[in-house]
Amino acid sequence: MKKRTLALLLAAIMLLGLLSGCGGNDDADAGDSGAENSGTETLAANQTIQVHWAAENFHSFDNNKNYAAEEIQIQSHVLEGLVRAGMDENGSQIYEPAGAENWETSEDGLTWTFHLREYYWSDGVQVTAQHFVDSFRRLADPRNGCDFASFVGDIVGGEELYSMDVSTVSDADIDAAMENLGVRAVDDTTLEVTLKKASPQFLSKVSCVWMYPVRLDVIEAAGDLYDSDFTTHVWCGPFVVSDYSLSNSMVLTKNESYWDADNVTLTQITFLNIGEASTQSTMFRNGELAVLAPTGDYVQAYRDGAAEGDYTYLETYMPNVTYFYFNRQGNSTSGLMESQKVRLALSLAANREEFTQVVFGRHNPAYGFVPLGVTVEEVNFRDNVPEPLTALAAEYDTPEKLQALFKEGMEELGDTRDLSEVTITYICTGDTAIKRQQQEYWQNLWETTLGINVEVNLLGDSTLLSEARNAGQYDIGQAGWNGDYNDPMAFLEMWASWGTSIRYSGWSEERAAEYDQILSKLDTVADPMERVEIYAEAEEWVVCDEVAAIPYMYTDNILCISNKIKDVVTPFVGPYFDFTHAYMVE
Amino acid sequence: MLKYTVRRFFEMILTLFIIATATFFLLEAVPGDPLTTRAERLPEAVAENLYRTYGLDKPTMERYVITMKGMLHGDFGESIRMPGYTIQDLLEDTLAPSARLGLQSIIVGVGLGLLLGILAAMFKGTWIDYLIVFFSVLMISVPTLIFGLLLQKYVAGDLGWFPIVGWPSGDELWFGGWKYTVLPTLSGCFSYVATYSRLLKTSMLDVINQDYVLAARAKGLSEPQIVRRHILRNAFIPIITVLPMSVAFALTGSFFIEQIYSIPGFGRYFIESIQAQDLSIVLGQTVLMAILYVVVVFLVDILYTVVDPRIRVGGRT
Repeated sequence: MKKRTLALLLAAIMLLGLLSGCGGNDDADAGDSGAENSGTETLAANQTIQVHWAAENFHSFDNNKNYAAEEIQIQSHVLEGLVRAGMDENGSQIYEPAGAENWETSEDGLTWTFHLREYYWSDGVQVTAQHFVDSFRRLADPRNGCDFASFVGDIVGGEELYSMDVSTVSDADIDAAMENLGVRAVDDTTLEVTLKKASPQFLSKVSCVWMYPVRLDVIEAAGDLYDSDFTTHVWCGPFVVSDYSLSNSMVLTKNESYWDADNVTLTQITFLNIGEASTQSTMFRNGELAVLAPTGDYVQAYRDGAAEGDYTYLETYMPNVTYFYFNRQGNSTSGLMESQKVRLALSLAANREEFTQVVFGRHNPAYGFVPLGVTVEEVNFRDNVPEPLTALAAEYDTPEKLQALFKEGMEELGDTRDLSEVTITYICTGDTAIKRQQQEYWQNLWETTLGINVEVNLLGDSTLLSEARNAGQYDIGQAGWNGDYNDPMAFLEMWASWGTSIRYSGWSEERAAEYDQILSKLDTVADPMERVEIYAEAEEWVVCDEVAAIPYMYTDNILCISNKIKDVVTPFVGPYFDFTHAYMVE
Repeated sequence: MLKYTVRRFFEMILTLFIIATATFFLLEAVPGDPLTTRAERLPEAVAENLYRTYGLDKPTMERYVITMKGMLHGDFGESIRMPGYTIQDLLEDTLAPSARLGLQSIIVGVGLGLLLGILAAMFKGTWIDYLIVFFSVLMISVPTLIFGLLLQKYVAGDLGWFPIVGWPSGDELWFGGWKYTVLPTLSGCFSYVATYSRLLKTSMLDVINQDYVLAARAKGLSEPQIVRRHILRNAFIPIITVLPMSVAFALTGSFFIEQIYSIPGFGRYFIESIQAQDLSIVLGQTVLMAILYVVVVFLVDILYTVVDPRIRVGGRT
C-alpha cells in the first residue's frame, strides 16, 4: 500500500501540489480581484509572465475528459463556466459569478436556475444554456468514459446514466437516459438543473472545468483532432491558446472578446515545463518565473529567505487527508481489527504533531477527516466544527490509558494475551528515505506507546501490495485522499455505499448502510448550517464511533509569489493559480 | 550482395516482430496499467466505463492480436495518456528538436574528440596526453545531468550569458536560435568527446606500430602525410563502427538534457510514456528505434568495405 500511498501522495503533492491557497492571509493582494492600482504601483510595460507547468500531465483539450491539475490550470484560463473559484480577503474559498450573472435555488434546494450573462465564444457565437446542457450530458455519457462523470451524480438521472454498462446497454437506451438527465435550457440564457437531493455543494462542482460549456458543432467538426489540436477549438475564457508544444509548453494570450476583458491586464502567459526543481529555483530568483512552488529542500530555503527575498511566501492548505485504513474483512493478521477500541487506541496513540514536525517539517496534524480549508457557504468548516479526535486524545493522554483501552478491546473479543504478545502487521510499499522514515516512525511509536509489536511488511510493488491486501494479510495500511470539490462531502462520501475503492477496508454493506443513514439526513436539508451539523456527525462516526480510519495529516501547500506580480488568486480547490486579474508592476 | 541484403531484410522483420512482442508482454508484466491511478479514485461504474473506453477491459491475448494486426498496417494505436496522438503525430512534434540537439552534440563532440585523440596519440606520454586522458575520464564519469545542471546554474543563471531554458521553434527549428542550443549542445557533447578521443588514441597507437607506417616513414614522407594517409585512414575503422550507432542514438534524444533545458524532444517523451505504460506509444517508439538500429548496423557493414577494401560482405570472395 505504500506504492498506492505513494501514488496518491504524489498525486496530492506533485499534481495538486499547488492547488490550494486557503488560509494565506499574509498576502493582502491575493484576495481581491480587479486590476486597479493602488498608491505607488506602476503597471509594468511588459505584461507577460512565465510559469512552471508539468506539461506531461496535460492530456487533452477536451474539458469534459479532463482530470489532472495541469488541465484545470489551462482550461480555467481559456474557458468560462457558470462560476469561478476565488478567494475572499481571509483566503477562504468563494464562488464568483462568471458565465452565470446570478442564480437561485428553490426552497427545497432541488431546482437551480442559472442566469447566463451575454458572452461569446472566440468565433463570435454566443454561449448559451444549451452548451451547458450538452456539456453535462457529454460528461455523463458512459460511452465517453469521462473520469469525473460522477459529478453529475447529484442531478436527477445522473447516476443512472453514468453507471450504465456500455457493453450491455444499447445506444438508444443511453441516448434516452441522456435526454432524461435533469438539466435543460429554458431559453438561451437560462439553465435549469434539477437535483435529486439537496446539494449546496453543487455550486462547488460547477466551478470545475469538466462542467464548463462545450460546442457540439465544434466537436463534430474537429473529429479525432478535438483532443489534441487546439486550433480546432473555440474559447470563451479570459485567454485563448495561441501555441502548444506537446509535453513542453502552452502559450495563452489575452482574449480580447472576453466579457470582462477590460479587467484582464496580462497579455500573455507562457506555461513551461521546467523539469528540475533547481532550474525552477534559478529562474524564479532571476525573475523569469512569476510564481514558484518549492519542493524538498527548497521549502526550507525559501521559508528562511522570505524576509529579505523579493517574493511573498505563502503556507496554505491542500484539500488532502492522509490516513491509515484497517483490514475489516474479518481476517486481519492480529485478529484484533474488528474491535473498535483497539482501532481507537491505535488512532489515539498517534502523536500527529511530532510526526509532521519530525518527518516532514511541514504539513498539519489531522484529528479529523475533513481537512483545514474546506468551506461550507464560504465559512471554514473547522471554524464551526472542532476536530473530533482532539477531545478524545486529551482524555487518553498517557500510555497506560491507551494500553488499558487496547486491552479492553482485546478482552471484548475474548483475547486474553498480554500486550507484548500482540503483533500488528503494517503493510506498505516504498523504500525511499522519506518513506522508510515514516514507516519506522509509526512502528516505533506504536511499540513504545502501546507495548505491542509492529511488523512492517514492506512489499516490492503495488501489485504485491494489493495481493496482500486482498488476501487479508495485514492489519493496517496507509492511503491519502484528495477532495475534488470544496465541501466536507468530498471527503465524507468515500465511506458511503457509493464511495470509491480507495478505502480498501473490506468495508461491508452493513457498515456502509449504517453510514448512509447518517448521510441520507442531508438529502432534504438545504440550509448550510444544518448540514454542517450532519457533516460533523458523519465525521465523528468515521473517526471516533466507527474508527473507519486513522487520519493523521493534512497536506499543506507552499507557494512563493514574486512581488512583481499582483492579484494572483490561488483557490483551495481549482487551478493552482488564477491569473485572470493579475498584473505586473515595475 | 543482393542475396545478403534480402536475407538481412527478413532477419530485420523477424527481429522487429520479436522486439514488439517482447515489449508488449514486458509492459503487461509491469504491475498496474495506464489507468490504475486514475481508476482508483473513481466510483466502480465510472472506472469500468473508463477501462472499456480504452479497450483495456479485454483479455491480454486479444489485445495482443489487435495490436499486432494494427502494426502490420503501420497503425500502433492511439495514445492512452494523450488521446488523439499516434506515434506518427508524436514523431512529427518531437523528433526535430531531439535530432538537432543530437546532431549538434555529435558534430561538436566527435569533432573535438577526434582532434584530442590525435593530439593524445601524437604526444603520447607527455603532459598533453595526460591532460587529455584526465579530462576524458572526468567527462565520462560525471553524469550528463550534473554537467547540464552546473552549466545551467552558473553560465546561464549567474552569468546570464545564455537563456536558462528553451529551444528554437518555428522557422528557427533547424537553423537559428543558436543561443538556446549552446548549453544543451555542450552538455550533450562531453560524453562524445571522451569516448572518441580515447577510441581514436588507442586505435592510432595500434596503427603507429604497424610495418607500413615504418615503411612510409622510411620512404621519407612528412609526419603530417603519414598521419593523414596511413595512420588515420586505418585508425578510423573502429570509429566507423561506432559512429553510426552514436548518430542513431543521438537522433532519438537525451532524456536528461531535454528535461533540464525544457526541450520539447523525443527522449523526454519516451521516458514519460514508459512511466505511464502507454502501450501504443512505447511500442511505436521501440519499433522505430529497432528499425533505426537494424538499418544502421546494415549500413556499417557496407561502410566497412569502403574504408577497408579487404572486407567483403555477402560471402563472395
